[in-house]
Amino acid sequence: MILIVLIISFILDSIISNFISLSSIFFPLFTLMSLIIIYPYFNSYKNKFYLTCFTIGMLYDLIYTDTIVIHAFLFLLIGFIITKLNLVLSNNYVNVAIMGIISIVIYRLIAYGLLLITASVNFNIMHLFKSIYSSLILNILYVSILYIITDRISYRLKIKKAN
Amino acid sequence: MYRKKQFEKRYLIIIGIALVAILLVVLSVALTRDRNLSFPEKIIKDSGTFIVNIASTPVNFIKGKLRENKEKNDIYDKYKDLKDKEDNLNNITAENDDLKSEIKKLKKELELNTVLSDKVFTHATIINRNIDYWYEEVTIDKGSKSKIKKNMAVINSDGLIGTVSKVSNYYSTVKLLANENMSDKISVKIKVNDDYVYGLISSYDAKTNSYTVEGISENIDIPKKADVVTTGMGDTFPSGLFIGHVTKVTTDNFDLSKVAVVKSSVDFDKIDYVTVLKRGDK
Repeated sequence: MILIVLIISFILDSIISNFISLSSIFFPLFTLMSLIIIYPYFNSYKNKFYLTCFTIGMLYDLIYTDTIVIHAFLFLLIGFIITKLNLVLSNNYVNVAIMGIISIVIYRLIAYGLLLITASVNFNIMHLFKSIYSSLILNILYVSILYIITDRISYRLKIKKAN
Repeated sequence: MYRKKQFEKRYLIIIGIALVAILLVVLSVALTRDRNLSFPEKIIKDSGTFIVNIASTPVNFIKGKLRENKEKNDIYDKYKDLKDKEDNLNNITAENDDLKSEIKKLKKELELNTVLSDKVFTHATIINRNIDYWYEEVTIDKGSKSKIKKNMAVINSDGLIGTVSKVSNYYSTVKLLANENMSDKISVKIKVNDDYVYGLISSYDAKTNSYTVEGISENIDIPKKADVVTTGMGDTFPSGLFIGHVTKVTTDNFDLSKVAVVKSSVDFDKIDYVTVLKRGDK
């Protein structure tokens, strides 16, 4: 289940990018969203979850963005935040959507901060706001639908999942 | 005991600062856009992109069929358009042949091996677009094995679209000109009657799909809809690559030079096939 969700989300990121315009408000972050979905399937093996976050982030870096460790660290951090959020939010599709919003906002804020500190390019603050709102609609929809699908499959196949 | 605790605290702070500094150095290296990909990076990028590309083949097939269908519907309009152009075709072909032979003769006369407009073409298809939100980039299916090199100019049928920023063995990343954080200025010339005036593209506005060209001589009147092309000055772009048309002309803050707004000829949302150019060596 974990592997299938990760692979589908990772490939969908590339496919959907071909269908949206550069100034679109439907910017895909499916790989990031898949971390929220897969966390309960690790049950209490947090270290395995963190390792998965780091690995998928590293692949995202190398295959999609030509950076080295940026997404590996960002995904790891988002993974950590997801584990903390799961302590206070129960696992249902509304809470999954809330976790999605929090993850996107934090991911964009940190990425923007890192670019401001380290890259030699001046990014306008409006660019940050645009990056956040353009990522919300599609990804919240994706994470909610993915939650419903995976939840039903895991129920039918009796795959163990933490609530 | 107290001293020992204070020493440990100080020690931890120093380690913390050192770690943050190392992390910032690593991140700044990772985020440097003009670095070359290392050998392992190339291998992982090539194999990963290959797998993703295969997985997206059915979707791309459907997308292609839909586009084909749309083109079939527009075929009559295209036929009418081509029919009008056909009347002028003979004149243009003759003029083109004449100019080619003239350039050849002049090159021979001046013993020039290259002129600024010499270019060699490689065609490529776009695999994915702008996955990293912050820099407008696309991935194309040609790499160093197809003799693609960093900083080569990339065009499509409408004009200049960007430059090659990263190259692996079988794939490359193209940085689009549609980038509001443009770091490099591009030398361009604007056609005014039979002469050209020179300027530099300094920025891009995504809302209007327009560039701002600065540093244009104050004394020359620039007509609206004037053609803008690259000058060929600098290492990256050959001359004569079409950029767009002038839509508005103003003066800069100090009234010292003119500033032109140039509408891009390329619709950056509809790029599927591109051509990578390199300047001819001979």
